[in-house]
Amino acid sequence: MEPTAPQGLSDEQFTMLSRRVREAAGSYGSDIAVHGSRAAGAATAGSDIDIAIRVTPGEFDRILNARFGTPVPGSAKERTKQGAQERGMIQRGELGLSGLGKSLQRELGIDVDISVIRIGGPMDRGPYIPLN
Amino acid sequence: MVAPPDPLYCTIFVDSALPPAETRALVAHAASGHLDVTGVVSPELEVTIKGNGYADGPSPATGAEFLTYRYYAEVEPTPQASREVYVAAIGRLLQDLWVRGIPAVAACDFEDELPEHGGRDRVPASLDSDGHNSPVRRPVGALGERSR
Repeated sequence: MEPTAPQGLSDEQFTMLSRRVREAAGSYGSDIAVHGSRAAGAATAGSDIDIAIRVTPGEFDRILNARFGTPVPGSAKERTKQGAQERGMIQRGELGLSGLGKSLQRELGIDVDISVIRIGGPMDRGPYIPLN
Repeated sequence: MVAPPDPLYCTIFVDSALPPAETRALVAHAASGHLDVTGVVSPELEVTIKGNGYADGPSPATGAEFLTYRYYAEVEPTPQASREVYVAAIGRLLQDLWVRGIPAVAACDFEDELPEHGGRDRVPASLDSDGHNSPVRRPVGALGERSR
């Protein structure tokens, strides 16, 4: 039988999490899923909830350019942008989703990490549990 | 539609050998702030310290070794902080970490207003014989290892 919620979350918590993330981060994409240890059933007490917004390569580049802009050449921000491109991943802070993560952490008592992941990229790793 | 970025948002990559709770406490002290449920709050800064997801990826190019640092700190201004006060507070936080031998690099739109350009051109600290960070400086190109 397929799990209905990631490890450590009740169905009610997962429904709330799904709604809040789709409301606040839905502009990045609709293919949103929990991955990492809580999807794999390997979470420990301190594990966070990893949420991936999976996007096509073209959409990834569009989001990357929108969120990083054109950094000063040679800056750490430029190098971070390049690193995000190489990894096919943009982290929560650069997405402007720190506030959402902190709010969810206060409600759930679990740190919630949210990333945009390029489909087929090196960080596109299942298993995934799609949000409701 | 994707929202434009906040020009005051700043990521600080931190390479502490300490566990997460102790690293948060260290940053709280360095920022002259206190710990709350989600991170560190000072009069000028709100800082959330997380594991660095970029560290789990391809080897970075020379000059981008900070992408492999263990921690990723999201830094935003408190509502009452002016831009000037906020930027100065980030500078003090970085300098406090560096004095303790903790490598830290800021990636943001105002790197050039920070001491040592936010640390991007600083060479990483080395490990002493006990495996702790020390402020000894070595050329970046000579380091193949991570400083923890």
